[in-house]
Amino acid sequence: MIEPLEELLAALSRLPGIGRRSAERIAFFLLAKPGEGKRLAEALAGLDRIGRCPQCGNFASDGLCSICRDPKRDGTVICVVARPWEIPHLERTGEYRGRYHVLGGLISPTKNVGAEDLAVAGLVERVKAEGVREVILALEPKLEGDLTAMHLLRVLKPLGVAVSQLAHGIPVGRDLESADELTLGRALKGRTPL
Amino acid sequence: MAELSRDRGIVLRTQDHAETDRIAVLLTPRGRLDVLAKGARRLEGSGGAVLDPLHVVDVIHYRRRGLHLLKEASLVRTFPHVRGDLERATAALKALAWVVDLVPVEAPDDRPYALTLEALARLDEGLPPPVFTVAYLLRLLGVGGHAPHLRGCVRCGALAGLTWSPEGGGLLCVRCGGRGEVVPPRLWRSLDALARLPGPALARLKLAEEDLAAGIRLLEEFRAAQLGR
Repeated sequence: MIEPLEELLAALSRLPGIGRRSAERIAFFLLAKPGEGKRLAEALAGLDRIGRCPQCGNFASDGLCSICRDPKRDGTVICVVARPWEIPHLERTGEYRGRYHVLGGLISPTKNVGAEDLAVAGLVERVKAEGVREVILALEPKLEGDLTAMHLLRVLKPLGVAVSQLAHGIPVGRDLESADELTLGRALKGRTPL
Repeated sequence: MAELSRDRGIVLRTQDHAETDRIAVLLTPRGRLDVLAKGARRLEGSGGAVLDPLHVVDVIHYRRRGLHLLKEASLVRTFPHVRGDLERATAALKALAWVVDLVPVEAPDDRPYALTLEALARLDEGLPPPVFTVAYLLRLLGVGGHAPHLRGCVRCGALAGLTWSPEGGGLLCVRCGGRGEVVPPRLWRSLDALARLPGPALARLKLAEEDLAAGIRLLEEFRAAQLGR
């Protein structure tokens, strides 16, 4: 195979979820439609302009991210996530109008990631400076997420801010019998009054 | 369909793999076992939730191309007071990281499994995390054949002038060439007690915090030397 095509296939194959066959399909599509290839190349070149929001750690192209810049967002509520790519999922719910804070990971003693490696100090500063009344922890419901939540609760509670976390339980549309005992246990613990 | 195997194990650590899979490293009575749970991070994945560190699980798995693929996982036991406490969970996870280094893959020996289960139960019942860490690590080194010598000089048996010699196998007196950190009698007697006393007696031990911290540091050095790192 010719060298530029081989390079394209190798680059595409490194992307998550794309094997050699998918890479070939994409490459031949781009070869057949040169305009699409140019558009993709321009979009990829634009990645250099994407950085991090200095306030919340979300992806941003120029200074503050669109959420931190938006005056209609409720600045008294902060939703804490581990990574920036979790924000679009929460945004799609249409249920949240507050702001975000990206920690940059989760506490993991086995991977030598401690609280000092995460953006916890920045969160504390924001809570103090921005008149925040509630912090919502949207962290993965597994041990690393739980350890991070425990640490955040410890540093945030003395500031007098309300701390809540996303409900854990049975996914909407699933059968009760298909839920494992842990999920069901957490759902029972976090039941809500009707 | 490949032949199914069933194992009970303690989840030591997990690692996300590909887009939706998870690899769980288990400590079982027949050594360490790495299980690949396909689709465990998807909503409809089976067993994803229970494959979390510090859970005891039953797994049904089969072998394909050298990998153990998970078919089913169910929760047998959890340690709620360990998982619900930052200091205890941190101590447990750091200690379990030693198992990955010291216990070989698929090498039948139920002692590390039984020891770990017992130690986590003690920690869950309220054993202070530093006491758990030192006692557990000393015993784990012991069942792996790496126990440091803690009753006098490893060469001549002298009880005075003892220094720490990770390469020499434990305590080494200055007369036998010991050049390392001096180990005061109170410290090495504490370590010896932590290595030998039965579980219920550990909870009654009164040990200085600085001795426990020093003990953890000495054991870290010892592990590094024994494993050649």
